[in-house]
Amino acid sequence: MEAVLAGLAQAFTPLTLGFVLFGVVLGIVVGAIPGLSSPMAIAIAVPLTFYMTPLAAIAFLLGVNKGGEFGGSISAILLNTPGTPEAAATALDGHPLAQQGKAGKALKTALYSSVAGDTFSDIVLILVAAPLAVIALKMGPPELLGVLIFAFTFVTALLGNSMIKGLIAAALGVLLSLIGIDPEAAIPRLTFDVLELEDGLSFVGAAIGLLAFSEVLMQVERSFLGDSGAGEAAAGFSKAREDNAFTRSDFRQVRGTVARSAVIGTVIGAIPGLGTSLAGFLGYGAAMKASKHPEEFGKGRLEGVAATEAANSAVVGSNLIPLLTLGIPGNVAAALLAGAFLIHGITPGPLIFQDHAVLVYGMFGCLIVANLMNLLVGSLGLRLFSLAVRTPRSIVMPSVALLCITGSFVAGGGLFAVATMMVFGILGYLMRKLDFSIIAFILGFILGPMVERSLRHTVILFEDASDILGHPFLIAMLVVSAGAVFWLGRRPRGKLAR
Amino acid sequence: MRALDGAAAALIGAFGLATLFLFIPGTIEDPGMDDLSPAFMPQIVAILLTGLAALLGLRSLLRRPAAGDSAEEKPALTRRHAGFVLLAALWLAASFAVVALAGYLAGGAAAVVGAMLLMRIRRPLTIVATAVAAPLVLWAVFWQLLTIPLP
Repeated sequence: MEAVLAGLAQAFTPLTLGFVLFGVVLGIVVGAIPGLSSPMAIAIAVPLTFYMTPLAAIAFLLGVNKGGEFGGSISAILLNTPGTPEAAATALDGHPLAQQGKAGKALKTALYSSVAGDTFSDIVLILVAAPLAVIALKMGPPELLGVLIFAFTFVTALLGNSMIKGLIAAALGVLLSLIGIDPEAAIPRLTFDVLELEDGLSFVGAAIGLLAFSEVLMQVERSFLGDSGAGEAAAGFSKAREDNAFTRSDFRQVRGTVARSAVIGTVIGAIPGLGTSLAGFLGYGAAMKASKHPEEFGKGRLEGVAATEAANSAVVGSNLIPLLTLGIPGNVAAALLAGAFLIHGITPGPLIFQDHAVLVYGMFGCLIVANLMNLLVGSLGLRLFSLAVRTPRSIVMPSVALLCITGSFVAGGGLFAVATMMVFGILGYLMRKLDFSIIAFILGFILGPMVERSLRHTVILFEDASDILGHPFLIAMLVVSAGAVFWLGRRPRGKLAR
Repeated sequence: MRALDGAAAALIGAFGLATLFLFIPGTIEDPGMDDLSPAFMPQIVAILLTGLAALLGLRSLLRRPAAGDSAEEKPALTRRHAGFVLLAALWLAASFAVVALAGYLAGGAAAVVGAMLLMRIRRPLTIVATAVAAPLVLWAVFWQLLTIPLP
């Protein structure tokens, strides 16, 4: 109880509240700009957190994540161009509403649904994370190894169009994570006598390169190859009050949809690898099935906007469940948060509730605060944020490229980190072109040291192969992983989008 | 995509084999401990990588085009893409060199100018304004506001 109160007290200091606010504003603005995404914003924002306290850093990044989820709906509704992949389903009904002059109503519906879904999943996280961590603490190295193997096979089975490519990406990430000093023998590995590599490859540099800089290269390439990307003109706002307000009637219309989608998003988010986009489309599909007027979906139904936004925002909180309880990030945003934890000397996993209880409960407080900030900032600044969608790509992309260079320099402490970021940027570009999953790579990069530790300890523990019989949980995980390979890995692709 | 998959498989397989037989023996000393060698995990991963690459290559050879595949589907990488990658690499190398030799503001301007030229922006005023403003704003934020030194 003391830790809870201490954590909440830290969460409500003016400094922490200020960073949450800054993060939410930044996230909304970045999420609203087509071509930029919430994970990109988080990757570039991580270097800014070096000089913050751990709680302020995590609070800031959570604010960016939450703001970014809502921000993506702004360009989806106004321009029919989602600012984030998960906002793609929002555009289905959001843009037709905007074309009818009801952009204000659509944006407010998106905002309120997003905050409602997010708050629900945050409450679930707060209630289940600690008990699950207690269970996770009972796991030894063999059990943890089983969970990691399952996580890798399950995630790669669901991501992208090829499980083999997903596993290759994950293996490559694990291999590159091993560069540096061996943790047991303290001798260099794969450093090629380059001094800067003895600390290993910078996670932040890799993340900025893979997520943000590779996207910059993709966007620059579009213009280079002649795609001007002019897109649609932004739909306008009607002067009628009814078209810009979220009324009680609207609330009654969407409340069931929001509740259903919040549950869907929370469940999807708790399972590593399923992704926010899936939650959005599943929520939309469920709303359409449950509606008395399914034929009106796609033509401007408020439930369409509410369903998607509630579902994809509900992923944000529950995605932290596997991260906090097992140390396994469930999606890119969680992976970046895991990286931020590590930068501040905190290892995510079940022990975090013992070693950093105040931080964890402070973070829980910040999650709720961030939702309130999102609601407040979004409501007050809706028209202002809508201007962000008009920023020309020709100015945005070069500026983001410079931001990537700056951020990687700050994160890595030198020009070597900048070079690393550029190399990873080109690697990320090629991976996108050849359909290799960047998420799988990042998971491998982050979890590589954990996999090595678990594997080493398991090998040392097992004197011979029959010792595995004493670890039924490991056997179960291996069986389920094999099932994931043979069932999910061979399913028709394209049905479970990233 | 099948041809590209095959090429990617060959490249990754070669990388895996090179890691297993060249990079690991060349960069990891055996400390002579009774415990597992530091090369243990890298070897496991390199073997896995090579095996997966072989599977990918085999799949690209054996897989028939699916019914939904279009014969007119644009390839993901063409010579134009290769040209872009080359130019992008030159842009990045030049930007890096300017940052290293002349500092952040000059290097930042070079990076912005290069990106805009690659995007086929030809309006001089837009290019100059962005190349001056973007590095200045970031320099002001990081160095002046956050007191984080830049090159």
